[in-house]
Amino acid sequence: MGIKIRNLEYIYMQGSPFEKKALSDINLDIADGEFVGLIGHTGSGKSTLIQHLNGLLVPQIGEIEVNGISTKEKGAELKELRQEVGLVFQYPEHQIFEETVYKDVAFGPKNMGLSENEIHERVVEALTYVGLDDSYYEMSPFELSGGQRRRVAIAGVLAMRPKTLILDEPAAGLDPAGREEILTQIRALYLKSKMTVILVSHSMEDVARIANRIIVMNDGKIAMDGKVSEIFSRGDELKNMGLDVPQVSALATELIKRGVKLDSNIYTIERAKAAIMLLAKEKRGAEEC
Amino acid sequence: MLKDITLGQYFPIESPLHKMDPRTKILGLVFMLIAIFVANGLIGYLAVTAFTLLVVLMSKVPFKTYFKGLKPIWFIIIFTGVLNFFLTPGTKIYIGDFSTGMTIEGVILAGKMALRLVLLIISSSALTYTTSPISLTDGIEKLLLPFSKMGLPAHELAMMMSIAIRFIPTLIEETEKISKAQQARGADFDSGNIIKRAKALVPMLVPLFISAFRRADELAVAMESRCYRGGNGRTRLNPIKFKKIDLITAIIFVIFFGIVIALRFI
Repeated sequence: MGIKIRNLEYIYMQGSPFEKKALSDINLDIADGEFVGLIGHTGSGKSTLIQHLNGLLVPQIGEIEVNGISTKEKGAELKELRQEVGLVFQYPEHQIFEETVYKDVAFGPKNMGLSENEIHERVVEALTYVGLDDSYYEMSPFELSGGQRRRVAIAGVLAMRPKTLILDEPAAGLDPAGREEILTQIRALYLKSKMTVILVSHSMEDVARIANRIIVMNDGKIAMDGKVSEIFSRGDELKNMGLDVPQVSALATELIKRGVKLDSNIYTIERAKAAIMLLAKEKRGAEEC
Repeated sequence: MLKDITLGQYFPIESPLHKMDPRTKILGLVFMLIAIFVANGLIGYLAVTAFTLLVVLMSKVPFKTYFKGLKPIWFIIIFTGVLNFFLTPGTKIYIGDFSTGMTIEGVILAGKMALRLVLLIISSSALTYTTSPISLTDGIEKLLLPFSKMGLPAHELAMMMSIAIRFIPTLIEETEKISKAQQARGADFDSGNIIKRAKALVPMLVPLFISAFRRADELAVAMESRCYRGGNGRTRLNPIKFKKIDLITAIIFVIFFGIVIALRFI
């Protein structure tokens, strides 16, 4: 069923002198099981858009249908929608409030009115997904490190077993090791669970590595929408929007410009390495002859 | 929405009132408030009303804004007015042969009360509309300075005030963010009975307090690492100055105040 957005517009503080158009004329289809990277500069409307997807914001103009539920209808089943679309906010560890890790993760399922057994099963499952074993269950979230706390918060959303998972800058403010860990886990989770995942970020590097499709937002509009390789081949346009292609892509483009025969859709370090090694091998082979 | 709360908001435009020393304005307001309550008789009331209007005109803030500021007190005005109509002893008002239960004295008293309340709010608003929170606390600090010899921590009080004012919008924003995050996890803030609703606030209040403490801690560290050591020997980027316009205003205020007092007691 997926997500269907038609002619969506959103204006903040409408009718006041501070009025600001956050979204204009958004049309978007996201199918089940996609892994979408949503990128854009600060203030490009990313966060406003994702809050529409689980009914926290209701469209002023236009329509949204998520798994057959239209959020614009009066009395729409918003609570159910929020179970189906799990939204992990920026710095989600700031929303933790319970005394133990277990209880905090159980908050979502409890709100859904599930039985004790079902809640237990889901909490264990969610915490296992994010790599926290039972030695953490009874710990206070405030004893944990920043990265671990963030994973507890993500587990809190996963425990609701959403069909669609939206993560807003899940790696923001973490050290490189923590970033790596979170992103790898998200990718693994996606492959295992077949959820639709929408990853919001302003870091091209992160998105390039794990998403299949990229949507670029600029000034409240969708500026580009396509496969990772398609997007990064338009490096100049991205730069004009204040975004950057991953460093390896920039390097590859520069090398191609200078006459090195490289593949044009290089956007991860692994690919770059493979391509360069291949090139080096060919060259050595040619010299040996 | 929480964002719509306006709290004695500053109105950033240019006017003679904006340029004045905050001390003049604060003291002026104090005298004004006394005058409003001391004023007596038709001439007295006319004088304070006219003077308040003059201040409003000088502030160049639109009338509409002042009226918006009056919104929260309409209920009080009407409520006390109705009580005064009926409960003040005096000559009963008759319509034909039918006694309305109201008294002439009651109507007059209600009118006076309403006028006083409205003038009170308008003149206080004139101060907050024309003075930014920073210069307001600066002014209060300077005014309290003489008392610091008696052990009153003037600078610290002013600093606490400005920090508190500074963090109101931040905390409002934070509250909205946390409430959205918990709603995304199925929290329900607006259904059920009162106990259920109060309980539903826990997931919002705990993170809010934690973040407020964290912010306070970070701010303290940031201030200390920039060698903040309280008010002793501190200089200012924009020292407040008592200018000619302040002197003129002060003289006008003294004359006005004298007239109101004279009308009352002579």
